[in-house]
Amino acid sequence: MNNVMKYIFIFSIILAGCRPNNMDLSIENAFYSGFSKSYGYRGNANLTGALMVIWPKNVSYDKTQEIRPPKVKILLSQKNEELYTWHEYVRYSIDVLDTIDGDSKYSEINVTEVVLEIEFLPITEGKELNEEEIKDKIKITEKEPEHIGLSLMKYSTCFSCHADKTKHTGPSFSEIAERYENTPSNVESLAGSILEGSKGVWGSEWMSSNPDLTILETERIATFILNQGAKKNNWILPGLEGTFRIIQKPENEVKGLYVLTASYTSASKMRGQHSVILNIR
Amino acid sequence: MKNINRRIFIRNTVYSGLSASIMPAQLIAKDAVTDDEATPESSTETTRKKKVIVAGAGISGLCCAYELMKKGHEVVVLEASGRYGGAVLSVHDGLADGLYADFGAENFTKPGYENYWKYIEEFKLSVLPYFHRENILTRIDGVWQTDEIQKEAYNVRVRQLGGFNKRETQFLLSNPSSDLQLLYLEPYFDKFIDEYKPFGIGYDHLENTSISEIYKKEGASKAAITILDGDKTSALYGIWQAYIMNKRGYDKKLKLFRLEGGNQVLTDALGRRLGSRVKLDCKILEIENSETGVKVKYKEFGETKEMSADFMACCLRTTALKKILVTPTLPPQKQFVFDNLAYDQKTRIVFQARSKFWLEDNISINLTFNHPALLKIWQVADEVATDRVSLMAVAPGGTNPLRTLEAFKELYPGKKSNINIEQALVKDWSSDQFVHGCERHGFSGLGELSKYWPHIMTVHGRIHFGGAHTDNRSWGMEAATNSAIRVALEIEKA
Repeated sequence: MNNVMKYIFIFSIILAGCRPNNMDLSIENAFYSGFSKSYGYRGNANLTGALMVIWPKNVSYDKTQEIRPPKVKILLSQKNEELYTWHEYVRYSIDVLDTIDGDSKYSEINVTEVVLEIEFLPITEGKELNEEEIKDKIKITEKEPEHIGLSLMKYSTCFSCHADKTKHTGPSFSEIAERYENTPSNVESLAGSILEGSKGVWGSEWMSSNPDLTILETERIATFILNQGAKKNNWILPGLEGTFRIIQKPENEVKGLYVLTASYTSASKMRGQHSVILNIR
Repeated sequence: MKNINRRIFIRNTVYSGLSASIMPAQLIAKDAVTDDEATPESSTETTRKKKVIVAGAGISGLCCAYELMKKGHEVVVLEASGRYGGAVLSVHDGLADGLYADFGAENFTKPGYENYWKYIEEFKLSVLPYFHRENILTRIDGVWQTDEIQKEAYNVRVRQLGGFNKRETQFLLSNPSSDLQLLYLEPYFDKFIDEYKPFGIGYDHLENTSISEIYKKEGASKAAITILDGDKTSALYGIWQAYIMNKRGYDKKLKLFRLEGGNQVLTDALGRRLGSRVKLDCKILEIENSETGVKVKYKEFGETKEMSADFMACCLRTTALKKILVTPTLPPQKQFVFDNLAYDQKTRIVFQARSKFWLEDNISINLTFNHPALLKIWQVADEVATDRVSLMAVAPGGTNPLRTLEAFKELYPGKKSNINIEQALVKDWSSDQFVHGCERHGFSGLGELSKYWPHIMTVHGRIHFGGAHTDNRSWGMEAATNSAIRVALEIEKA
């Protein structure tokens, strides 16, 4: 990267770090009509501390127009349905619009940077939720800055062969987490496999090596895989579209919420999110 | 992060150059479509003309649509990508002097591939012998070994294990060592009536028995049991697959072939005959399956459209099917297949060199590296009249082609200064948006077969399931054409 490019890149990051976090990011509730508000989801959540820069007070937001967080929107296939049922399939697609990267409608978005996170929140029988309580529920799920392990995986080719809870070419994260407890030695061992490649651990297929990653980076990926794989009510689905199946009705619950959060990290390192709540009966 | 960005830049650079070179489909097939050839056969009097939506224009979808068209049925093929052929992909652009290579399906055999051979004859395509699995040098534990050295190592190991018994020794006098399992499995073949029906013939209980137990029961020596290595393979699966191989003659010495000009010549021929019946850039989003027909919602250049038909021939990989909403929900057995079927993922790298540099070292270029960035390499398109050569390298999915080249240069068994590679093209199937996966994995584990079979090929309502992954062996173009013809017959009879 030459000096000019470097300057532009750093300046972009400076601008990115100073956007208000709650613009254009809303949570829509498909059950409670008219319930659609902003909850301040972080639009630039994956900035590391090293890249955070204090925004000069005398600079207007208008000047950041070109690099505001990407707009992300989840679209669901159901027609005007407010209720979803247990074990139902749902088709989703995600629209992304970024002032610099472009529009998913025109295939201008890097699909490997788009992720849908799904979280199931059970609601105990007889305990209806009011708007405030739902807000509290959502706050619980409010996203931390994206796990650096996930960010690294999106940049690499991991999702070409691995998925969170289903099998593809390699084992799923849940299969890996089931076999390996989340201990420092297992993280180190998995990190070694990611770095060097491996064969024969899960079958005869080779896993490619990732020599461009550092040991620390592979350890972060391994940590993310073990954390995510162990989560029973949380799913990560990469890409702009797909389907998922709502879980079977748990024994002790009659209702629940599915919180869907789509996110996209732009080339300018800005992160946009959009969340939708599905009410399950 | 700097490293990662550099990597992405390299990869994107290679891909963008590649896609630009490939997208104009290589319409170089030598056959010509005449009006007579393209005219469909009329449907028989007893068979009603049906409207069929074929999902996916890989070789299976094209073949199925072609068969249905010939029977006089109305077919529409919906293909999500901008080209037809799927994993049959030949590359010409970017290579000099008329060289070419197959990024996808690489060869076919004789015996075997019976349905595939019928199309070769029908379209009068040129076939060439392929010798890339002969005279191989294999790198084992860092040492290059010839086939002869490996054979000697095999014999030493057998001796160390106590040697074969008299029956095995007698058998191997007239059979290759690769067929040793037949000595113990062939007696089980008689019960098979239909090669697509491994269950219900008295062997169901063997699904949870290891095939090693069969060898032991039949009196195999310790050496044979160890070398055949079947502790983790279900006996039912092993016997079934050995039966299919035996029936098709695969346990004899196979001859390999490829199509002159690239294997895409055949899918191009099918596609041209189907003409505008193949609709590209039409991605299926939803399928409504009823007792009387199917309704499909699909996206064509961003516009959502609907289409109805009497039947659907679904020739999509499960990686694509997972993203499609099917109503009513398919049975759990089918859904299990969608969620769990695994595929190989490979990166294919084509090197162009200025000459056959390996001849200066007096070695074969059929090299098996067993390296994480380079599994093997061989020469392709050797009939092209030029000093230059094209080489096909295979690496795990997600491999950076420049790392493959680096591994080749580092480990090449000849003089490194002789290497004169001047060009590298790449196709990483693991990152392909539409053909996400190569051949499917088998179902060899104990208790695994009944989770997948026959559900993988079972008809549900008006949806018939084809594609290479639905056949009883996963050998690419053979499985694809077999399944396509099965589905076309099912729909014809329905």
